[in-house]
Formats: sequence, structure tokens, C-alpha cells
Amino acid sequence: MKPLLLVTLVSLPAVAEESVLSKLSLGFDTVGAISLTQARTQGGIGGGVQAAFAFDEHWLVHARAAWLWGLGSHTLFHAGGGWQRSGTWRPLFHGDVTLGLGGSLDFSVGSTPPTRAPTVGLVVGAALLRFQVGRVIVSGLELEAGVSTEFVSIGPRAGVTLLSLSALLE
Amino acid sequence: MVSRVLVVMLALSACAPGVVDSPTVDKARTLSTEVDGNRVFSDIEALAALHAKDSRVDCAGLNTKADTWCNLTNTAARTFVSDRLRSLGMTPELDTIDTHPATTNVLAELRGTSKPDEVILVGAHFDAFFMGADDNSSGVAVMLEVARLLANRPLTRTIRFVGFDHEEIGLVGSTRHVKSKARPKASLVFDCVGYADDAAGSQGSLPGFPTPSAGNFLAAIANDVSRPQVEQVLQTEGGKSGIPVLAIIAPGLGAGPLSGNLMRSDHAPFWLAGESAVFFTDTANFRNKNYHTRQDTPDTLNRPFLTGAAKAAVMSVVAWGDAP
Repeated sequence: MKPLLLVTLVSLPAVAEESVLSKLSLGFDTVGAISLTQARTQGGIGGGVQAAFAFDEHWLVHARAAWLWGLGSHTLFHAGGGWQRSGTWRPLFHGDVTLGLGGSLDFSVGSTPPTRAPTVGLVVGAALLRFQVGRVIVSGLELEAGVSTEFVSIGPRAGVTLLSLSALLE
Repeated sequence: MVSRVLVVMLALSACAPGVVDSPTVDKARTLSTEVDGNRVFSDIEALAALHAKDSRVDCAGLNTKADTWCNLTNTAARTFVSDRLRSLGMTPELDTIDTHPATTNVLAELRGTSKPDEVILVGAHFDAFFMGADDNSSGVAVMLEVARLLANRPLTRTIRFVGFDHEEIGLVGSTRHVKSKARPKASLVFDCVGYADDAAGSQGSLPGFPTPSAGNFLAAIANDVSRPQVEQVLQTEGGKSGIPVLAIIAPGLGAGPLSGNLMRSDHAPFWLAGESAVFFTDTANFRNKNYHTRQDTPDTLNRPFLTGAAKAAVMSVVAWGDAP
């Protein structure tokens, strides 16, 4: 009995550590985003799917695809990484590259006609209301801001994730 | 594998910008130098005078703003358009529908030389509130100037000139046209093309529309369907009209909640039907404080701007009508 107890006690931290390390999470979110440049206005509200992979207790990479409606419909991809606090309250700070494809309000700029290029951007974001309970991560009102371009002009972009719900897979 | 490559190539070609060949561009630019700004302006004066003395449309049942709605006129302007097209050698047709009040479009065609079944539509509404100098005698006068310059120079494709009735009541004439006539290959619609102001801050806008501060540009408004046509407009115009031309492209068919202000004229029924239409405008009430008032008179218009708008129109129609 004692050896079994000993083995169990020794193995618990290992299990706990393993559950922290190499964790993949998948989830859904509802988002809104806007990109404003001289040549293009692109944005809308909608929802998407996301995946994240935690290297350790704090560092992770993530990706997201969202489908937004408002100015036509477009697909917005995010890929980036960030740092999260450990514990139940797990605020996340991240930096991402974005790619917007699809509907937008396009403008000529001087003699340059409206471009057909996709919208790319760089954003930094903070998810301050982010919590982990067991395998579930819930986050609300995540904010992000940055710049975007369609290779004609450059301008601000901003986004908000109203609600994000994801689950850790082991 | 080969079929997949072909599909990808087709998809890419569908996204390729519309390009006009050099001879057509040269022809379009050369013809635009023959635009007679004084003639265009005198047509506006004549149309405004006709609106001022014409009998008012029966406004019973239309009335939410009596001073405006009960000062809508269309009969004399319709006759003016019809007579002018006839004097240019065309055979105008009156297309009437039994609405209240009755709606009658005027249309006439210049038959194309080698592709007569492909139609380029050039249109403007002739009904107007008060004297309607900018809205829309300016658009009608530009349409008639295009007709004058092309009357003895037929293009490859058929050019159909349409005076739309009762745009102001709710795009009635253009909706009728879209539902009843053969689909044009492309359409160019003018509504308010004569007002300009170089002063900073003279151009109004909306969130998401990074328009210039000075209201001295001609807006060429398209949607995703007519994107190739507006690209051809920009390529052919190439700064030769003498006025700035700003292209605005609405996503999809243009019917989204944030782009609704781009659908406020006779191009909208074409967009909603999935057809190609480009809309030329000075942006109306976003620039012109006289919009839909008694002050919309010829003396408030800008002659050089009007001439530039007519040149851009001529170049556009030639590009669409003659490009291979």
C-alpha cells in the first residue's frame, strides 16, 4: 500500500506538469474588427474558430479564422503568440499578424486604382478578463489595436473579441 | 491536375483588372477633347427653366414633405430629352408604366457596328425637384453631350441612352427598365455631376469613407460586379478630364448596411439585379447644400467641373463601347 501511495504522490506532479506543458486548446469566439486606410475600409462583426498551443505555463502561439459581416463579408486570419499569467485568472498579452480576404469598401488613391490585394496587419492585444477553470478557458472583451495595409496606404486597425470560449485538449 | 490548374487560372483571370487597349484609350481621350462645356451648361439652363414652369407631378399620396414632393416635375424635361435624341438621328421610344403618378422612360439607341447585341447603357433621371440644376439636369445634359459626340461615330457596341423617370420617387423608372429590357453589358448612370467646391471642409462624408476634404472630385462608384468597368474608367480617364476622379467600390452587390448610401440613384436596380453599373456623382447632399431646395439653380454649378465630368463620361463610354 505504501509503495502505491508513494508512486501516486510522485506521479501527481508529473501529471500536473504534463497537463501544463504542450497543451493544445480549441475554441470559438465572437469578434468585431475594423481596418481603416486611405484605400480601404474593411470590417464587421462575426465569429470564428481558434486554436492555441502552450509551450509552457506562460508562453503560447495561437491562430484564428473569423468570418465577419458588415461591409460585405470577409475572412480574417490571425496568427501570433503571447504570454499568459498562470492561475485561474489568466490574462493574455499577444502580438499577431493578420490577413483579411474578401469584402471591403475600396477607394482609389490619387492615380492608383482601388487595389485587389489582401489586407495585412500587425496588432497587439490584451485579454484581461480571461479565466481558466479546469480545462475551460473563458475570456471576454479582449481588445487589440495595430496597423494594417493593402500595399497602397497604411492605417489603423482595431478589434474586439466579445466572448471567447475554448477547451484544453491533452 | 490539369483541370485544377485551369480552374485556378480562371479564378485568377476573373480577378484581373479590367484593361482597355491603347488605341481605344487614345480614341476615347481624343473624342473627349470635343466636349463643349458651354453647350452642356446651356442645356442645364434650358432644362432648369423647363422644370421651373412645368406642371407639378400629382403629389397626393406621396406627401411627407409637401414643399419638396409637390414641386416635382418631369414632363417638359422628358420632351426635351426625347426631342434632342431625335434631332441627333435616333428614334426615341417612350416606355410608360401605369404607376401613380405615371412613369415614362425615354430611350434611344445607337446601333453598334460589329457587336450590336452588346449594349452599353448611358442614363440619367430627368425628373427634378424645383429647378433641379444639379439634381439632375446636370446628369441629363452630360448624357446628351455623350449622345451628341457619338451620334455620327458609332462604336463597336450598341449605346442605349435612357432618360429615367421618377428616380426621386424611388428609382421607379430604372427599376422598370431593369425588369423589362435586355440586360446591358455595362451601364453608366449620372446623378448630380455639376457642383464642386475647392474649399477645405466642403466635402461631407460618413464614417469609413476617407474622402478628400475639398468637394472638387467626381465620384465613380461601383460594386464588386462593376469593379472591372470602373478600373477601365480610371485607366482611360488617366487625369485627362481635368478634374479628380475618385473611385469607390462597394463590396458585393453594394447592398450592405454600411454601404447603403452608395445606392441612392438609378444604378441601384442594376446592382441589385447583379448587373454591372457605374455611378458618376458629385456626391449630392454630401457636398451641395442646395440639394432638393429652390436654390438648386444653374448659377450654383461649376462649369469646369461639369466639363470635366462630361469628358470622363465620354471617355468611359468609348472605352466600354469599343474595347475588344
